Amino acid sequence: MLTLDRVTSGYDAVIVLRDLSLSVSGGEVLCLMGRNGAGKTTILRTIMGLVRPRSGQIRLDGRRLDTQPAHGIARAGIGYVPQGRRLFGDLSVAQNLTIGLMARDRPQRTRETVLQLFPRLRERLNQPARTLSGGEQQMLAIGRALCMEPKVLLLDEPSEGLQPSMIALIRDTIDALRRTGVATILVEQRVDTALAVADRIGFVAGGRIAECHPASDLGPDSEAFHRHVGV
Amino acid sequence: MDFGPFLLLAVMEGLVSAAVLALTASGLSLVFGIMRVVNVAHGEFFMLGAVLAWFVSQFVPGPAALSFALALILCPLVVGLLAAIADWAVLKRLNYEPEATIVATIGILYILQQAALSLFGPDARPVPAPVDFRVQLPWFGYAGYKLVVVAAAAMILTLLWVVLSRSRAGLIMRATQEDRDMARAFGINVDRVYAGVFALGAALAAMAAVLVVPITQAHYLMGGDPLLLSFITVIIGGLGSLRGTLIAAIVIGLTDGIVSTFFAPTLARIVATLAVALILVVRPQGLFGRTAP
Ligand SMILES: Nc1ncnc2c1ncn2[C@@H]1O[C@H](COP(=O)(O)OP(=O)(O)OP(=O)(O)O)[C@@H](O)[C@H]1O
Ligand SMILES: [Mg+2]
Repeated sequence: MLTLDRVTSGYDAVIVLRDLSLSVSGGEVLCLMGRNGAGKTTILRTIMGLVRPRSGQIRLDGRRLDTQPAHGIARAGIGYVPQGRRLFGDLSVAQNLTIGLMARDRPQRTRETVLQLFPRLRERLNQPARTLSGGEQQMLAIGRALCMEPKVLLLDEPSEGLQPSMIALIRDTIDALRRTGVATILVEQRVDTALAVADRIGFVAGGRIAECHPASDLGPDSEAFHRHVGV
Repeated sequence: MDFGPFLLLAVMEGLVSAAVLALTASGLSLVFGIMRVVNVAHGEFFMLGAVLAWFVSQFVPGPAALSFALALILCPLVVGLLAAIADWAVLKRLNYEPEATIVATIGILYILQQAALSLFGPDARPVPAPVDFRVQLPWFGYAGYKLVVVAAAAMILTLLWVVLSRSRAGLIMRATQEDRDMARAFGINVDRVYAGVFALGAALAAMAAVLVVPITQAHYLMGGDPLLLSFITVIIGGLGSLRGTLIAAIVIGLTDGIVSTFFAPTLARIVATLAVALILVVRPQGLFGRTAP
C-alpha cells in the first residue's frame, strides 16, 4: 500500500500541494481528476522523488520513500508513465525496455511478459523510440514502467491524444494489472474512462484531495465532475 | 626537402596533434554532452596528467618503457579520482547549474594550476619516451614514438566508442544524457553517472597528456592550449556530438600540423579560430550538432 500523509510540495517559489493525504492499495485503481494546473502531475512527481516534499511522509508498505533518493524510490517498486511519455527517444525500443529492466533480478521473464502484453513492440525492437507512432510510444512508455516490476504504477494521462482503440487497449491493460495486484494511480481527464476503470476517484483542488468517492457512487452527471473538472 | 615529402611530414605531425586533440576533446565533449557542464578546468586535468607522468618517471625505477606504461594507467586513474572528488565537492552542490558550474570550474582551474606550481615548480621538465627508434623514410627520419602516440590514441578512442555504443554503462550514460529526471525515475543513480562521466572526461585528458608529454615536456601552464583547442573542436563538431568531435579533431589537428609546419604555429591557431567563427555563422549548432527542438 502506498500512502501520502500530509504532504506539502511544490517548486522554488510556489507551493502546489498542501497537506495532501491519499492512499492506494494493491489491486486498486485510484483515479485523480482535476483542472489543468491543479497539481496532479506534481503529486506523481513528488511520489517519484523528482520533486522533493517540504513536509509530510510518503510510505510504501510502511517503508519511508520520501527520505530516499529518486532512483531508490523507483527501485523500491514504483513504475512511472509520465505525462507526454518522455521516452528515451534516441534509444531503441529494446534499449528503453532494458533501462527499466536493469533494476530487476529476472529481466528475461519480465521482458517476455511485457512483449506479450504489447506484441507491436516486439516488431519494432530495434527502431528508435522517437520514430514510433503516438499509440506505440504510449505502449512503450507503459511497457518500460512495467519492466520495473512495480508494486505501484503511476499513469499520467496515458490516453491523451490517442484514438479510441488505443484508449480501450490502455483500459484493458489497467484492468489486467489490477488483477495481478498492482496498485494504480491514474491521472485522467475523461469522465467515461475514469468511471470505467477506477475503484475510487479523487478530485484534486486547492492543493489537496478535495473529495474522494468510490466510482460506483458516481455517474457521468455527478456534481463532483462539474465542480472539479468542469464538464 | 621537396614539397611532397615536406607535405608528408606535415601530415604526420598533424596526425599526432589530431590524436592528442581527439582524446582531450572527447573528454570535454562527453562532460558537456551528458552533464551539460562546460568544464573550464579540463586543460588542468590534461596538465595534471603530464605532471604526474613526470613524477612517475622520476620515482619509479626500471626501464623507461615500464614506468611509462605505469604512468599511462596510474595518471588517468588519479586524475579521474580527483575529478570525481571535484564533482562531489563542488558541481553536485551547485546542482549542475550551467552558469554556476562555469564559474566553479574556473576556480578549480586556478586551484589545480597553483597546486601544480607549488608541488612541481615553474620549470618545464622532460619525460623520457618509452621507446626510442626512428622510422627512416627515403626523405627524412621520423621519431617512432610519435607513431605510437597515434596508434595508442586510436585504440583508446575505439575502446571508448565501443563502451558508449555497446555496453550497459554506455546505455545508462545515453539515457541520462537524454533525460536526467526520467533516468532517475527508472532507477539510475544519476549522481554516480555524473561523477563517473566527469572522472572519465578528466581521465581522457590525462591519457592524452601522458602520451604527448615525452614530445612536449611537462609544465604547470601547459593546460591552456589543449583547453582552447578542445573548445574549438567541440564547438565545430557540434556540442555533445562525440562523432562530430572526433571528425573535427582530425580536421583541426591536420590543419594545425600542416599550417604549423609550412608557416607558423601562431598562424595555425588563427586559422582554427577563424574557422570556428565562420562555422558558427553558417551552422550555429556545429557541423554535427542537432538544432535545439
Ligand atoms: N517546474 C515547475 N516550476 C514551477 N512551477 C511549476 C513547475 N511545474 C508545474 N508548475 C506549476 O505547478 C502547478 C501544478 O502543475 P501540474 O503540472 O502538477 O498540474 P496538472 O494538474 O498536472 O495540470 P495538467 O492537467 O495541465 O497536466 C501549476 O500551476 C504549474 O504552473
Ligand atoms: Mg499534468
